[in-house]
Amino acid sequence: MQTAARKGNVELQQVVVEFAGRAGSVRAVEQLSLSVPSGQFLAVLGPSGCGKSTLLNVVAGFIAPTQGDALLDGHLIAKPGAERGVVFQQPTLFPWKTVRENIALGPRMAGLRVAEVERVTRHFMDLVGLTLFAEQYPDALSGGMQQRVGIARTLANNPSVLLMDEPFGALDAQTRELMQENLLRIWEENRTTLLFVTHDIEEAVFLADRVILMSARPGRIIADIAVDLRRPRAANVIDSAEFTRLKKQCRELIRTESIKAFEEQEHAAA
Amino acid sequence: MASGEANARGAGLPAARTRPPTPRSREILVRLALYLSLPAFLLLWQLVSASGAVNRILTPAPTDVVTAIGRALRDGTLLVDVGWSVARVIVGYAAGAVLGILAGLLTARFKLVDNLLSPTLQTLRPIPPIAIVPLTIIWFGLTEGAKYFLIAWGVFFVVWIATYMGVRRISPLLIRAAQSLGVPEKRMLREVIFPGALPYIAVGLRTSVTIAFYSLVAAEVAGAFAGIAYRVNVSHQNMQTSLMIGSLLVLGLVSAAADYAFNAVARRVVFWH
Repeated sequence: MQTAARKGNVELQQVVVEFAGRAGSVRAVEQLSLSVPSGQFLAVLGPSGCGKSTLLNVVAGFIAPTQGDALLDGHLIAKPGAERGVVFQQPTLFPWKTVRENIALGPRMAGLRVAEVERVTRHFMDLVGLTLFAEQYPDALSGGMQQRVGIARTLANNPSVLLMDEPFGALDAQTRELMQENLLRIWEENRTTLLFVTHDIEEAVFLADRVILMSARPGRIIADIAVDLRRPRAANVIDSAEFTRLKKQCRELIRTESIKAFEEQEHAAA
Repeated sequence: MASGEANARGAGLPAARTRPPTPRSREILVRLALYLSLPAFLLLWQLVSASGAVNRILTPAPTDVVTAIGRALRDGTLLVDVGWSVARVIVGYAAGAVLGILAGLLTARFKLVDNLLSPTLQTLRPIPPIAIVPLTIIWFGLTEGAKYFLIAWGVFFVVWIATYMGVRRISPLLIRAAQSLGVPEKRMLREVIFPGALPYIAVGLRTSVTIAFYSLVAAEVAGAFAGIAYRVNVSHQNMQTSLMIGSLLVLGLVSAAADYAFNAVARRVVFWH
């Protein structure tokens, strides 16, 4: 954990991502540069279709940038790897593996000894409160529980960067709040670099050290806001004046951006 | 089929509720029809055969069929026939299934293998096993190898296509998840691709149990010295119609038992689907 804390510096240099569309190529991310220091909780906030998931997929190694470079601790990111743990919007568990087997997959692939795999798996099952469900298959679990398995499975690999793509987006409001608090509790213990994509302003401000706002497609960073709320963060922080101020700031910036994007579309249509 | 219809009826509950309630006596009659179906059929058959309206040698009664099968059971020929047929199905099926799964995994995973094999396999696929019987006799003679080949031929293509589709339908997200959990490319097949395709493979394997028996008939009728379908053919030539019908029933029974056994195993192996 100690060594992992110093690792996890993410660096994006002039990254451009283009997709082949029906009418030529579509630019999803435009000349984006970003530096995320080790141990930072970064929320990537923006309207849907702004390329924030694309950005995460570049760091995960699922998509190669059309131009520019993505680096982790000075090394070029070329393909997916266990040092960059991904939590998807849908839990994406292996339905033929039990909760325990899903969590054990990463440690097993890392070549740990059987006893060590067992110990790590048990630790992370315990951390997300699923020890009683160890031998259940994903089908038998609720959406929130499945996502907890997804998070535990990723954490069990001890990654230097966590990448989360709207991980609580598909959950109901109550479960979502509990999951946010759970995530904060777990993250505040080991402080791994975390890139968290969301379109929920409150979620971004509640969780993160820093919020970047992305513009509508092609995605650029239009604001970079530091969130200096005290840690460990309690659930009632959302009632504080500072929280309200930050939320308002984000909302106004997004509103301006949305109107601009809307007008540009109108222009393009006219 | 029957359960599908029952489900469809169940789904239409609101419509059923508007109908007047069925009287209890009618319900009993409906239930009784289920249990009467087979006995009534056998009784009718027996009566027609015994009435003298038809030639009893050409259309033997159920009792004649039972007698013929009983005789075959006592003199041991029935057991020998079943033994040969089942052995042929097992060997041919296993060979076809293993090759089909391998070909499916490789063609679905590697574009080079796909381009290299699929056009040829797709050309051969529509040829029914029965049509290549003469060719297998030229190549293998009246050997067991010829029978294995025919059965494997029928099974291979079904399993190949099912495996191919199964691999292609695995969610790309599941593969991404495995990659970022550190599953190396060479273990992807075992950890994700094969189990991910297993529900489809199981459907292909089950369909081809029946196909294996179709192919068995083609193989045994063309030239064999024992086997259930061979017995059907020989008893036809000897005008032993009772034994012929009896053998057909045994063939159906063995095929149904194989399907049932396979399904019982598959439900345990592919439990998540």
